[in-house]
Amino acid sequence: VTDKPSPGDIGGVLDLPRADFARLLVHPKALQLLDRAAVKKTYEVHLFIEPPPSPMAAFFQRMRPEEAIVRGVQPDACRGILRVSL
Amino acid sequence: MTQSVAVNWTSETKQRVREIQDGLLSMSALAKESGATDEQTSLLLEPYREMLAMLYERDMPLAKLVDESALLLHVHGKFAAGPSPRVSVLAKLLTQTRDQVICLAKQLGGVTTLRVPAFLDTTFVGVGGGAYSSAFQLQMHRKRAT
Repeated sequence: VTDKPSPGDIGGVLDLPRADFARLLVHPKALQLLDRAAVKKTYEVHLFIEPPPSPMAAFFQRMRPEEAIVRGVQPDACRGILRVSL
Repeated sequence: MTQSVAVNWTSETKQRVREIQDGLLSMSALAKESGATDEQTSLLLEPYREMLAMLYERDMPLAKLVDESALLLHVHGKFAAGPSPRVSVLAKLLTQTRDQVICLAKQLGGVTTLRVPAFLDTTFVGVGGGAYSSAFQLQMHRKRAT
């Protein structure tokens, strides 16, 4: 989550079980889904596909030093993320 | 903006590097066991490589600056943007900051001489750059000159 009215950098993690990766990779549109530049261009979201527990989801909860300094918080401070179940 | 150093930013950033490295290794193994092609494997590993590059190139230098300095200036604006600020902007900021710090220190220390005592002089630690900001560091000598 952010306090920016129009965030320009939105990250999303697709929690995909390990057993489903092989199925994803043989899907006809697999490369389109794995191509983050194409996904970003189409959906304006940085999409990461990982099996849980996701290192990227944990990474996005941490603030980078530059942002933490500006906000006056400690480097181990965490931000909230949203979990969407489909 | 000033920031007092109460925690170790470098070790925190190193921990994040380890987490992303672990994620890269895990994804590499998963790609192999899932039968990914070379192109698919490259696409799956790319985010971790980008994160590692960002951590090493931007976050780690800034974390070290914060850990090693007593005073941090965080500057916003188009002339401070980018990895390397303009020399003219840097020189002006450092001069103004040094003068203000010395003026304050002289008042607090009761120094009335025009000349700046050696123990009040400042040490420049470094510059850290970002997409929209730059950081400058000054560090006061901690020991009074004899």
